[in-house]
Amino acid sequence: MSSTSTEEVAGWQSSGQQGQADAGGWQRMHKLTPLIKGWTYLLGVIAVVSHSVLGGSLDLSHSPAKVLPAFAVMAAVVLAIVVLACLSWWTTAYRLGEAVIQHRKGILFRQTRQAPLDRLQAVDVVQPLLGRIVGLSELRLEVAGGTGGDFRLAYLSDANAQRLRRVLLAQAAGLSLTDGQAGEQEAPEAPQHQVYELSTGTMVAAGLHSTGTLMAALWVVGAMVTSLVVGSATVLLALLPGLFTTATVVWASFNSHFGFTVATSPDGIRLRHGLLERRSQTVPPGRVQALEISQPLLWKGRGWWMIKMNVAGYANNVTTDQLSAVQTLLVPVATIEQVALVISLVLPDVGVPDPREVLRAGLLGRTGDGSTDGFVVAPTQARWLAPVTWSRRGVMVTDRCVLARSGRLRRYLRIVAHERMQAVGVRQGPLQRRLGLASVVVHSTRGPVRPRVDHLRVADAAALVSAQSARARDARAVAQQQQWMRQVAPVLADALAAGSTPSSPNLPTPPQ
Amino acid sequence: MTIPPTLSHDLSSEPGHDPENMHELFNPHDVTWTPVSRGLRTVRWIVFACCWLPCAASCLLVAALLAHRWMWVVVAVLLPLTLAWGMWLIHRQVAALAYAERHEDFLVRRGVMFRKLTVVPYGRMQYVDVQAGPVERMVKLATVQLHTAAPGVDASIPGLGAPEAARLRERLASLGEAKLVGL
Repeated sequence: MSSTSTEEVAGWQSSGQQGQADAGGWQRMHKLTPLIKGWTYLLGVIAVVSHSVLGGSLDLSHSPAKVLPAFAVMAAVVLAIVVLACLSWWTTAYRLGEAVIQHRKGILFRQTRQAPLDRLQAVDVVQPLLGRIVGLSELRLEVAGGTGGDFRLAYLSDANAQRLRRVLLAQAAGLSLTDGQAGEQEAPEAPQHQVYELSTGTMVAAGLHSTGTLMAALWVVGAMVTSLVVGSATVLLALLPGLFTTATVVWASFNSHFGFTVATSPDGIRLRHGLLERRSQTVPPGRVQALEISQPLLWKGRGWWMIKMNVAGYANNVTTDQLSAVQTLLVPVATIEQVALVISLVLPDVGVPDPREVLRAGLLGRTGDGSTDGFVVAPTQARWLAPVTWSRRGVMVTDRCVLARSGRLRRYLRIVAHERMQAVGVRQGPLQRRLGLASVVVHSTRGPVRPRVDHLRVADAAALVSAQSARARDARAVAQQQQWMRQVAPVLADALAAGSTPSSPNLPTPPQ
Repeated sequence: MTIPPTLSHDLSSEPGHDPENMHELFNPHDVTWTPVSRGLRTVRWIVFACCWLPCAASCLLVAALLAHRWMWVVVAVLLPLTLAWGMWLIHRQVAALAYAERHEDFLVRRGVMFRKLTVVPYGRMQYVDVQAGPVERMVKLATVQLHTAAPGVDASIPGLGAPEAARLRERLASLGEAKLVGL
């Protein structure tokens, strides 16, 4: 690593703040970083000390000769934590280059990661609770084709994190940058237009209408009845673990969904949510790989839906399931109208004249409900393999995307644009062969959305597979544009500045 | 909507296309399949035998310990039967494994009972791996594996002769590079 500070100085812009950057353009994290990262460890030490004192294993009234060694050990531990945190801060730095960002870290084993910005998939700015108090944020990049999965800069001052986000998105979009005051790069903030906001009332109501809460309620009632019958209150103790689990789950979703907003802007879809930990996600145009609109059983009466999305990098091996579930949620609770609006922004051209009608058919339609809705459906013999859901199974292919609907108790509609399809496959088991059926799988990137169409007629499946590879090829040839702003920036910026209504499905948006 | 929904990409007008033909599903009309080397059968037989022999030995041991006449009959019938069934299954599976290079995409077909066909566009391949295990190396075979950004794309082609594996890797890598598009 020693070579980087002496060579290729010219290639790296010194984007430093007030001369913080060194000769190679490397810039360190905010000075309070060790405090934010290390406070949990310090809390641990304090907990151990107080436990020993209170528990009597460390009696302060003893002679100093007995107490001192214990304190010496603790002081050494605290010192070690502080030194390590400071060393880690000292060695961690980032620098911006021409369409690339580098990040180095590690005390003993130095590690440098590089992310090509034209492969930028999403930028998240995360503010943990403590960070919000002192004004620090973490910047997370999701990059396809980078070296190593996890790219996070923790922690930066709020202003610096926002500036870096703007600069990264502008560079990724292919815009030229302007130099700000202190010699640092600056990019203009893209105008944004909020299209969805989750009210706390709706969020609570939606949470109460989940199967988990229903089970918890049944569990409570059951235990109460049992305790009355048996005549002993000890049965109620059995409730505690179950209630605790439910409370954890409810709290986690409350905490992450709180104040959920979706906004559209030229640099992509912006999501903001979180009660204690605030997360702002920016997913540039064309980075949403696949969508899944679903409706849990108990939401049917209310007509609520949720939307999940696949974004490359949001479901890496390194990120935990819980985190990727938070990141890949596009809309937590929405009416069918709001769903149509958000879909029209993420996928501006569904390839049909009336996208709302198609959406309605995909979400609510069934075989035999009298409507001819454009979906190619599973034939009647599919009921032998899918007795409940066969009537919902169907697929529709437009010029731009594939829509696969399924599920009856929990309804699903999954959408993949042709140019986002990774591969397509067909499979057939012995029973399906006997019934003249086959399943088609449309492969998308890693994520919660796994589009597949089960139990189609063999002829339909064959046509779908062979046509799908041709369609994907044509769509890729037309659509591919990594730096999405190169051609459409002025149009969209004008449209947004003029305050065009977001409900119009024909909002000019960059090619997907 | 009066026109019935359709999925085809005006394929019906092409000659030789018979949508009702069951055979068509795993044999698209514009594809010439290359079967994998029959040497793969040997590889898999050897691997199968390595698993089967310990099982057979322990069955015999149990039978000897129990020393029951019926036990011997069961063992005498079952053991050859499982051996024959496994070898027959491997034979069929290897015979069904095939791949094809089309103009724009790569096709892999596998399975007899549970059939599977995967179509991977060249532009979607991230990288190509060639691997060879110890048994494969004995009979000079290798496995070529295509990697895309999607999990669950089963696009590995086992049982390729070493020159064919090298040729395929080179060809796929160069095609992938030429046609690679972003995600």
